[in-house]
Amino acid sequence: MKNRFIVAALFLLAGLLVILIPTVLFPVCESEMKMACYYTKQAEIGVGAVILLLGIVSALFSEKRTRAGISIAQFFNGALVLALPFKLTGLCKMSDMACKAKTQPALIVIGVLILVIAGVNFGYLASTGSKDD
Amino acid sequence: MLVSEKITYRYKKNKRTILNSVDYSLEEGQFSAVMGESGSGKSTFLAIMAGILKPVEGTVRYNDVDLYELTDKELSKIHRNSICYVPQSNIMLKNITVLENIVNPYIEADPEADLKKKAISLLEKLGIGNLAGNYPYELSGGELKRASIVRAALMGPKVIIADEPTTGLDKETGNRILSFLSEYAKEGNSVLVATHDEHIEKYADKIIRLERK
Amino acid sequence: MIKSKIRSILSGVKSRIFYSTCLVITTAVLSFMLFSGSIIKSSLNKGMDNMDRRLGSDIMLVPKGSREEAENLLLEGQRGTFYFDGSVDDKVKDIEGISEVTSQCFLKSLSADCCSSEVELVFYDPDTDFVVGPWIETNYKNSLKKDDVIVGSDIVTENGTIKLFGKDYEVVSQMAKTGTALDSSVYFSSESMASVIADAEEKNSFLTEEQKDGDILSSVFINLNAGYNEDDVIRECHEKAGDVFDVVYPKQLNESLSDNLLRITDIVGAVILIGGVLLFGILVLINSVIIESRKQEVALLRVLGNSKGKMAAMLISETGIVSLFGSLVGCLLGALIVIPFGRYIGMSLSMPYLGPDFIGSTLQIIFIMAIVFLVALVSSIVFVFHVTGIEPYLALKKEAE
Repeated sequence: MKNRFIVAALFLLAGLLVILIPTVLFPVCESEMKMACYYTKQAEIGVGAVILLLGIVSALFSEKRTRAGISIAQFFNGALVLALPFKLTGLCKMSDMACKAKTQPALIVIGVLILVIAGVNFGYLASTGSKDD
Repeated sequence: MLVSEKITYRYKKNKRTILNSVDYSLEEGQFSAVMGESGSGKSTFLAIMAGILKPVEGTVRYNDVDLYELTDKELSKIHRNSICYVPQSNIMLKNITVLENIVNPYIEADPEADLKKKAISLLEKLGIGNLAGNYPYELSGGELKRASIVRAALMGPKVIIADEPTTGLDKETGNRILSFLSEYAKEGNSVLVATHDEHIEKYADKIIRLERK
Repeated sequence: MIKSKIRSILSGVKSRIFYSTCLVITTAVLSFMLFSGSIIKSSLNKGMDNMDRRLGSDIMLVPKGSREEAENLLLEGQRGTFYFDGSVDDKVKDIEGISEVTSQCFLKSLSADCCSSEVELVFYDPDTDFVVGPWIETNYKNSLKKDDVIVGSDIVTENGTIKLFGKDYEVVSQMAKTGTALDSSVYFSSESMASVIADAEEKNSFLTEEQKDGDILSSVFINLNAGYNEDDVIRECHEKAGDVFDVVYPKQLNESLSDNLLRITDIVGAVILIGGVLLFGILVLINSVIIESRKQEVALLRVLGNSKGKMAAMLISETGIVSLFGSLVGCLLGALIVIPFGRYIGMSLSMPYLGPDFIGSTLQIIFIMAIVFLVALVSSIVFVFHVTGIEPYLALKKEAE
């Protein structure tokens, strides 16, 4: 029971951070031109919203299997948070650009944390058996 | 088998003498009881006999070996294999199961699976085989006491020394425990208990009474 | 046997989940501080070492009126786009007491395939340069030809070329990372200067009419022979070249940078020390509570045939395993934050910063885990011996009452 709400709150917070990092906390480069980092920002807002909503949804389910499934989904969402700046949409190429110096490290931190939370939660749910709460 | 000679114990602080030159002998196959009012030194006597409290004077010999002359390691070996003490309070770690509580102290000695099988059969003998997987806080006092006795008997020690094993328990549970211990003694072991329980007369081969000094 | 030993230790940890959590958190915080502090410190030191090379001249001449700009830019590890007449270095090179003279010219350019990011173009004379030349030689032994370029580690190249002012240049070598502005620069031989400036002129005019005609320079670097007074040499330079330059003393700047660095690393060190002492106190407290609360359990296990030595080993391994775990978590968290943010840390401190490599970080983690492990052991050892030394019956009885 406690686990359910703590993890939901963590996902909710993590989703919120994924949205806020490229927009408010560590914003990407400002420019008239729409550069690579602009698209990364837009995509991260989307992924962040999904993580946040799945977090809320996971609090509604008492079945451990369902929540374990959501954790698997969140794990891959975390991977997506990382893949966007590195591979899929990318960032500016110079390392002293704002998106590279600030947004990227912040996304690395939150992305890895999402992977860890989702992985640990899945492991926990899988190991505590089928008792629902 | 287990013999004490002239044991004397006195509290360090107020110098009050609890035991004064007690001679005692526990024979193989014997179920023996110590009675007496509170403060008469029953518990202290048991602890000294069990080799976990050094007397001020006197000796305790197990098969002609003076327990208090042994090194810590040698004494531990005796406690593991030969003389097992069951304290008055039921001490269990609360976040692991009853079965784990019973098996863990010995886990390095034997294969875990064997120990567990043995523990479960002993628990069944005492009527709580179904509680092995529960946590200690889910058990009543009587159930915990029985689990403590299983823990002591697990390695098949030659001597079990139990401090008030039936105090605070209902009559049926108390009898169950006493008959288990009496049976254990009949298998060629020895049992020594301290008790207020008058039912002991039905089970014990030998009863001594300690007077409050 | 070992497996069951570990399992019995883990069940001990599990049975005291609250205190174990406290211990994990304390050691994690301690390790986080130690790891991030030491990584920041060593990265600043490494960056500073690389900086030394860049500021390696006794005096530096810059155009009149640009001294302050030049000093600030140097401190931040950047270069200025200010220019004076290209003949200055020729005029001063024969002055008595001067051992070496070389000049560089800087341009800024938008890199074609990147966002609005600027790259710095550095024109240097491979024959005389002693400022970036020796550094470049560590990687590229040949003499740099006209229209070939060498790039710093941060420069993005495409198929071995880089497009500047609409023209492709062949990249003959890319330098290793230094953590300074050297990384975001493109290096040309001074022979290439005229044509690059001509290209630049087509794109955007930034030179005065007068400068457009002649060749231009941004800075002249001068080393002195031993025993010559800087002021005398500078006076002579003024006589020869006229009143067209200001003087910057890179070594002094370097010292002030070193002072800054020392101040920062001192603060980091002090924080580590104070925090470490505090956390040690907390560890002592937690251990005293954990171990005291286990008197009864220890006594019971001893009654059931475990020797004092075995019990001490059990208590110590529990503390050890829990603190190693906490330490690993703290170090990884530190690595997760400090390593990606390295660039930002350097930028906000205005200091050259060269982050650690993988092996360096791993060794650092192992080192810190070893230290935290020892600290945890030291903070628990007194209690361990106290608790295992009590007569079992007395400990058991105390709890029964």
